[in-house]
Amino acid sequence: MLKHWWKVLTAVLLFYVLVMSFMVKLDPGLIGVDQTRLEAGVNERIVAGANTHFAKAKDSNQIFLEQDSVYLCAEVAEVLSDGQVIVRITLPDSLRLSFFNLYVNNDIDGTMSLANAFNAPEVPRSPGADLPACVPQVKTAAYAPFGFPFQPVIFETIRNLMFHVPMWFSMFFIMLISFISSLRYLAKPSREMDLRALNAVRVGLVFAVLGLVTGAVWARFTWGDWWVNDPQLNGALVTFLIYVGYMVLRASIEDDQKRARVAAVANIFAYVILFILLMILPRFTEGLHPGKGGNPGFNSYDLDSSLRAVFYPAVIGWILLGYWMYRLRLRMNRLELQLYYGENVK
Amino acid sequence: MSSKKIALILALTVAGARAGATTVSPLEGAFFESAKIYVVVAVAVLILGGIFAYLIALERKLKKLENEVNQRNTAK
Repeated sequence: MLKHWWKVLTAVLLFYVLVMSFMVKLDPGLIGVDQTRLEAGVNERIVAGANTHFAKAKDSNQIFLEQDSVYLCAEVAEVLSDGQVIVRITLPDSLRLSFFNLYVNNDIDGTMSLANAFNAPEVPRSPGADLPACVPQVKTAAYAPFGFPFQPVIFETIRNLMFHVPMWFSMFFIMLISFISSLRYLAKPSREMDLRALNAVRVGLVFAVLGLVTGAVWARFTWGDWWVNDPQLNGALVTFLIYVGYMVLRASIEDDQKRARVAAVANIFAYVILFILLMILPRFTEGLHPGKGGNPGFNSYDLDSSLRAVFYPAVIGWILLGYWMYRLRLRMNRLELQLYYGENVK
Repeated sequence: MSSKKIALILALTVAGARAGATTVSPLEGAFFESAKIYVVVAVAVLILGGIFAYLIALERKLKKLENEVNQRNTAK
């Protein structure tokens, strides 16, 4: 049992991650409005929020539209529920700009915003037009719950951080094992090092596929398409294909020694390319995937303490699971060789 | 209020999909309502499904090895 402590750790970590990923609440925020277009005069619109407390906060609800740091006060016409409120917006006859950001605040949820919530394309625009400005009251939340941060468009899918992202961390780690094994093979050729490199790539590919598939689903419901032309995504696909190429290369060489040597060299190149495509190039390019022009992935600016408390255990847990899978595959492969070729590798 | 609610749901589905598609299927609508929590469920299920599929594949290979060992033992 003592020997298997890290497997127990894996189970505990992933159990914790699964429970926390789904149980921790999302902070309150605004999801959208029923109709974005506004006209001059009185407009009534429904504003929808997630985990908000419009009904519970009763009379403390306040609604503001904002453009260019000028605020336009709107009224609360009717509170439908904790998640929906009808607002009455009175627009003047002319506007300086046509787009409005929306702010809603109350004593329970604090101040929430929705960028470009409304636009009024048909209201005439004049540069000197003034809004019947009012001074907004900034409210802070009554309590600070341990919740995941609410981010526009992402909403609840911020939880995918504990699933999609660690797939790539695991792949990185397992491919690193493969890379080191290949280096060691070239330094001192042995059947064992070749086997380690091969089986690490086999398991690493499983995580790459999972990363690609989960990323595609997340992209579909965040960016609107299963695949977008982004350096990080294309880099991940190329990396995946390079490792598939490694497997094809292995299968195409008959001679054992030659295969092991050629594969080791190819594998070292594959890891270098993986590193360049996923860790270096995306930092210098523009794209939709988080982490452009700086850090890869969500950076410290996006990660708040509640996310860290689940994300770091998730990364460690999934990496350990990947390592466990790799060990099983490796041991099975050794057994296979021993059985069919009578070779004792270990 | 029900017509307004329906309008809201429709608006939200469109708002969620505005980055790409112009039409939204009922399935996608269900994904965008409730602040997209089903996307997370789908992702978690895909990962668990993938790992289980890998385990099943592994077990099949193991079965082959076991059969080989058994055959050799009976041949002796």
